[in-house]
Amino acid sequence: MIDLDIHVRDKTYPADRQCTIKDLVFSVPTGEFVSLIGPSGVGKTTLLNIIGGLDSQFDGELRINKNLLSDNNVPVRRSYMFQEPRLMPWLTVKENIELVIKNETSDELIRQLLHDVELDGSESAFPLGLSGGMQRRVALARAFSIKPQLLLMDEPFVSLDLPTANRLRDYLLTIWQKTKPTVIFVTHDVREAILLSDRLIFLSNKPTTIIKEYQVELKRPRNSSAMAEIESVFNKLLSQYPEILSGNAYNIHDNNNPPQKIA
Amino acid sequence: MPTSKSGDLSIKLLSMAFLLLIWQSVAYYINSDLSPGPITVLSSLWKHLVEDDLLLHLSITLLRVAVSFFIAFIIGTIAGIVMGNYPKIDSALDSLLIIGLNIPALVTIILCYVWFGLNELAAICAVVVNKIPVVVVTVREGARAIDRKLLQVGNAFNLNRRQVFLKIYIPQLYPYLIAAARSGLSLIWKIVLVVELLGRSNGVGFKLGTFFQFFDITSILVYTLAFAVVVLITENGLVQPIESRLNRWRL
Repeated sequence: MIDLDIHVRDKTYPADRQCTIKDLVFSVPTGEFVSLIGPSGVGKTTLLNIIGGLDSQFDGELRINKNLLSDNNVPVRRSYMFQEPRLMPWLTVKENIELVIKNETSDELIRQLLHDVELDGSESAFPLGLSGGMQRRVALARAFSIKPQLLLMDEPFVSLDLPTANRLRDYLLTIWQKTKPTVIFVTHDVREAILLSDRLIFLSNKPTTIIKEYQVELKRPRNSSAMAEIESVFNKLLSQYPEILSGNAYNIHDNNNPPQKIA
Repeated sequence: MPTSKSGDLSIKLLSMAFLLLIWQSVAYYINSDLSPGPITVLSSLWKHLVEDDLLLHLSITLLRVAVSFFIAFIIGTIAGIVMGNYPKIDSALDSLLIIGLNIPALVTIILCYVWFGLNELAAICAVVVNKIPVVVVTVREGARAIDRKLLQVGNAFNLNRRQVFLKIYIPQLYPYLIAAARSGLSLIWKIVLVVELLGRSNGVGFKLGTFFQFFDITSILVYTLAFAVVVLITENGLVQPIESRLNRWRL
């Protein structure tokens, strides 16, 4: 089990004057699916890179079960799915997955994962021969191939057409349901976040901090055909917090209990 | 490619036969010892092969080519990667690289022989020095074009530095390494012969020098022909198969 505590006091890129992330604190218990939502360019990817250990130039700390997570002793199997599929074009589908699993013999595991994303028999295909949607399915299979305890996803279904994206979301939900790793999912698509997550965290414009958290009370297992439920949660959310997507921390007020100012 | 492999080959053979035909007719028309035709050259080739030591000299030259190629390729690749990744080292060595690229091969050959003596070490050294800059320039270009996002995948999945380097970094350099190998090889063929002409007592270059002194044009053409055959075999039997193996993922 891994309970995650994230505290980023300050993250400023050397080339920037303004700081990117300021006093951002949140916790994620084992097995929770959390979405980070915010306008483009507010440092969502930066935050995910910090959590993923790809960026250590920040002031703050990451804790797992209250223990400080330092680079050398990584007690957690961490996996990542990027905005682009980021497959190695010179490796076959199977070799791409083997690359991250490293030395284990894992033919059966790979076959099962490719089956889960309906790419049976594509082991020896090269990424350039696959469509964009299929490449993302491989990337999804790769992300789950190391049996992650913590899965970080950075807008993995962005710029796909709706049916393709929904299909990928359903694959994700199905595979996730099996082992329930902790997921931190970055997106700017609120409906996507509602479909997938247990909890939504809304982020502000720079310097990025948390402006609102929202629990999604839809029962699982879910899938993308539940449009009506998702839409009703979405409408409820927006009627309660009309300004929540603005990224402006001082505009958020609860329409159900007006006018409480959040400072 | 639209043409089939066999169609490709027949066109190649046809063009070669056409060339031989022109050569033979011109030689027949001129009718001089200084312009032997292909039939004369081929019969002389047989004599050189059986009664003379063409194969010995050819293999000595090939050995020199192979040794200097690998030394220059390895040093040039390392230097290219370093210069492509570290701008400070790059700007420190850049002028030296430009000089190295443009200095006449003859100068380095003479200097090597004068400084190290007329020996094998000096010969190899002269070739290597000539070739390294060509490799560096190409590999440096590749090192600059490395996709950092793919390297990040390695870090995100906790691959160690060695795995990231061997499995994600080096494969991205393959096209540049192939280009460096090919251009480097064609350069080395030429320089090795000059090196042999100036300071060795064996090898194709040495033999050509001797034939030149006797105005033995037929023998010169025999050696040129043997040499051309070796070059074609290397290209078709070695460089191209490796290249298509490394490029099989491209569509």
